Amino acid sequence: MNCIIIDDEALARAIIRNHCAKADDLVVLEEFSNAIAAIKYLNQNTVDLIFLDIHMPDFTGFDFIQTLKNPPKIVLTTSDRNFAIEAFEYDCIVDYLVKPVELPRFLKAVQKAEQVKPPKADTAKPSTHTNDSEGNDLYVNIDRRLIKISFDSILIIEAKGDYILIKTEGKNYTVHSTLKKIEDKLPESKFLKIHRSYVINFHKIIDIEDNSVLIAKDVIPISRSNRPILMKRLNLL
Amino acid sequence: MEQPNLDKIKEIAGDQFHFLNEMIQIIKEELPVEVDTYNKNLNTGQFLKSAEDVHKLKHKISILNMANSYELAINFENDLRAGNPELAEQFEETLQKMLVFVAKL
Repeated sequence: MNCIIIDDEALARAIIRNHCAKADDLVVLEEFSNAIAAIKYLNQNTVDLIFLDIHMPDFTGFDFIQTLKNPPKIVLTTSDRNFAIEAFEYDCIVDYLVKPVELPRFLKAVQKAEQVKPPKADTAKPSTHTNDSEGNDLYVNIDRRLIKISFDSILIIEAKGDYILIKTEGKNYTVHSTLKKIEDKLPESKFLKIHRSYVINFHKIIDIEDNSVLIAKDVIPISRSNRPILMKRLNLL
Repeated sequence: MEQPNLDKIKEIAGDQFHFLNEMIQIIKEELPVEVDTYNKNLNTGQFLKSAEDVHKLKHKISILNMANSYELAINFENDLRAGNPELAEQFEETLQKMLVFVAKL
């Protein structure tokens, strides 16, 4: 197999590169300190496997996967065990490694990658994609009560560590959940993720300036990777 | 309080002396830069960015074999994402220990 390494940390790249040399028939074609450079490379080259860091500035590993039409097998590298849950919602991800990556665990991941069949085309999207939920409301569990929130009343949903903050026209709710989970429950026609930490109600936008959106009194950043999706949705004159 | 050490790095390097030196050299170069970026973001109240910096530093903390500091970093990262920098002072102690240790390598 051939592979590329994408990680903004030189130390992490050095460890993976060294481990690759210990694996049979695994050739490192290139290393990248950012995902954009890797995308350019993948536009012109084919690889069997990518070692991909999840946490990179501006463009996360998950943002990167979403840009690939036919992603190869991917082994995620992360300093965060919590990301594993989200990782396996992508068919192309065969394993994940927690940093610092130790050789025996690395070799196991490579073996796994060798055994897994190449992902089918268009598998970059999470396999649990269940958008456009039925109904107009969402029930959230707060202090053992199920509280009904109408989709239309939601302005912004913000990730806050292990919690999400749901800002509505009348009230704000802090719920123990992830942005990913709630995103799957929201209708695609109304909601859009514009940043790693923000999902917005598309219909509540007041204006858009450079890299931010104004909703009610909140200025929400637009990440570089999500900007094209937002712009595509706008009915521009 | 725990001290940084090279046990983990040696474990990863195995008998590859050159690789051990390469890792140490990279840490010596990367760590001060990462700490500096973290400090700048924290001091300007950019807690989400500083949470990302703490996340990145977790790898260095872990590779310098500081298990308790790693747990502190996890909590601090989560707190920063929620806009709470209270653990900054405690985290600073960890960073200082790492910087002093790495400078002596």
